[in-house]
Amino acid sequence: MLNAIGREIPLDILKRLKKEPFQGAYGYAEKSLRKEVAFNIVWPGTGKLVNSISEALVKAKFKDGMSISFHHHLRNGDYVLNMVLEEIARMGFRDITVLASGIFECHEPLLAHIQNGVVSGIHTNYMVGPVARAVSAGILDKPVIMRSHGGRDRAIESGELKIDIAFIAAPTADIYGNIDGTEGPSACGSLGYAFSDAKYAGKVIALTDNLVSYPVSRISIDQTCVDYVIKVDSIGDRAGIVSGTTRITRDPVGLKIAERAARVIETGGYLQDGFSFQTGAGSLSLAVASFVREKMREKKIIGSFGLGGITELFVDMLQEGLFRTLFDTQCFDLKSVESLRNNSRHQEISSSMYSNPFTKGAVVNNLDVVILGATEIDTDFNVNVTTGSDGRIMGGSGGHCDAAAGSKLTIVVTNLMRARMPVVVERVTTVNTPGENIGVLVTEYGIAVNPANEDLKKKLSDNRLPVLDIKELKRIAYNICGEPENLKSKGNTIAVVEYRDGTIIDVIPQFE
Amino acid sequence: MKIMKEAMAGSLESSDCLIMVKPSEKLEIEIESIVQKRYGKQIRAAIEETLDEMGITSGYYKVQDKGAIDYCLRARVQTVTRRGCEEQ
Repeated sequence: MLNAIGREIPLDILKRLKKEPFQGAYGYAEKSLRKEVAFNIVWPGTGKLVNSISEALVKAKFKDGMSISFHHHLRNGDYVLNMVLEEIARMGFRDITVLASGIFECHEPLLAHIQNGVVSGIHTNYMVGPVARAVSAGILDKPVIMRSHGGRDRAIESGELKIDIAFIAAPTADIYGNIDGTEGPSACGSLGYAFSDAKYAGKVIALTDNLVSYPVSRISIDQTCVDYVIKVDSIGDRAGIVSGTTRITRDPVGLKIAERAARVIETGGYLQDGFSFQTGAGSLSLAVASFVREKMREKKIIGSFGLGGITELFVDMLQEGLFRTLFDTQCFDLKSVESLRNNSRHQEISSSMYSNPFTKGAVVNNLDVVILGATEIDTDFNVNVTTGSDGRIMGGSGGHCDAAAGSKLTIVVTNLMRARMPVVVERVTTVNTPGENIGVLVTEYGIAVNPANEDLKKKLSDNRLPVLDIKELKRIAYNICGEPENLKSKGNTIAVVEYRDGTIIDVIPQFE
Repeated sequence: MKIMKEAMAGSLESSDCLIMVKPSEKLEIEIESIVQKRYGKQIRAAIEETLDEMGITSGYYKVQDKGAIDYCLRARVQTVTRRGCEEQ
């Protein structure tokens, strides 16, 4: 059947997953509930240290068919997912579902576990590399469930997504399970995506390469959540965890797009005291932030908060007094880790507080402006950051649709084309963020404003910003690139894209 | 015009293409493209048309495309063909 944005969702998938089709960004539910969690009480005199992953699995009564969760703060440097699965495979377990908030190039060993029947299902928010390519080629019988960051927390906290064991990659942990992400050889900063896992999993196992005596001096995930602590040689490769610096684009076209986006924010009247702002860590998003910083300095504006995955640029803006505080679910570089450790106005928050739609209000609801990217955007402003132009998975919503839904103004910044592929298209390959939540599209060829935002369109035109109809942008792109041929579906579904509220916004077929 | 020797034109930069040519009895065109699924037919048509306009009926062409648009493809085909036709 067709959902509210005209995407075909197979009925058998809705039935099998007991899901509803997407019905619009808001109002699908009025009430929600938090699940009850059964757990073992830890009485005085009982320790939590265990010697190995296998010992922890035995103590946790691990068995075939269970679901295990991982968080992605160690990004492409993560050792934990591979270490745990290797042990699970060695012990002969089968039919395991992996609930990982992100899957990267480094997780290639997962492929062998899928082929050997150890792993039979994957749920994730973001997926790149060999696993994403193999999934796109149909390696799994069960479709992968792709969620947004907020959607993952909603699913966990409501009990819809059951975690049997959560594995926490702990840069520093004490022997009683208090965890800090900002210290240790594998320090990654915020552990925001692991909070729901730690609170709602049946069992919680922390792996650390920096075991300290009780207690750690800065507690992120606390001892009341953790069953077992394991000391390992290393939880990750430093080079893949954080970058030394995150870069602003030097491409003149990119800078032009960024400068225009900053003018859209200013002209739209959003740059006032109390301004709140989120960007991604991409070089184009950072360039927008850099132009916004200039404008905030000029106008002597003090913003309320910066949000997101946090980068050096936002840390500098905090230190300069341009924001009162930063909310941080994930640190992208070393300077952010250091800031989170040392600056009390740089606050670690859970991804649920950041973006879960089914709470008494997530931080995205307080956002004025968010800058987002797009692999494709269609003439209804629906955005794809999940699949590439060849139809293969190469990303995922992450916080994309969460921030877009919460923010007063959502700006997508992108080149009109990338190596012959038009970014503005008639119909995106996959929708992860509905067009109703996109306010403005900024490209080097012009700015398109969502027709629902007539006032802003007028303001931008009056201030001589180059406003064009989004269909005109598409026409320009097609004139230069030619009209792309349609991808041919093989008919089977390799992934299901859940909107943040749990409805199905799209499915991804296997393409030829 | 006839391809007399091996020649090369273009680059592997994004939005460009690298074309190699060598003498062959018949006309053969091998194309690898990062946008094959979306523009494969248009890429082949642009190359064949350009060769036809130049009167080329033989030669082995190997095209490695990194998302070049048609006028870039045409220009690279013309250049590599002229290079391949020049006297040693």
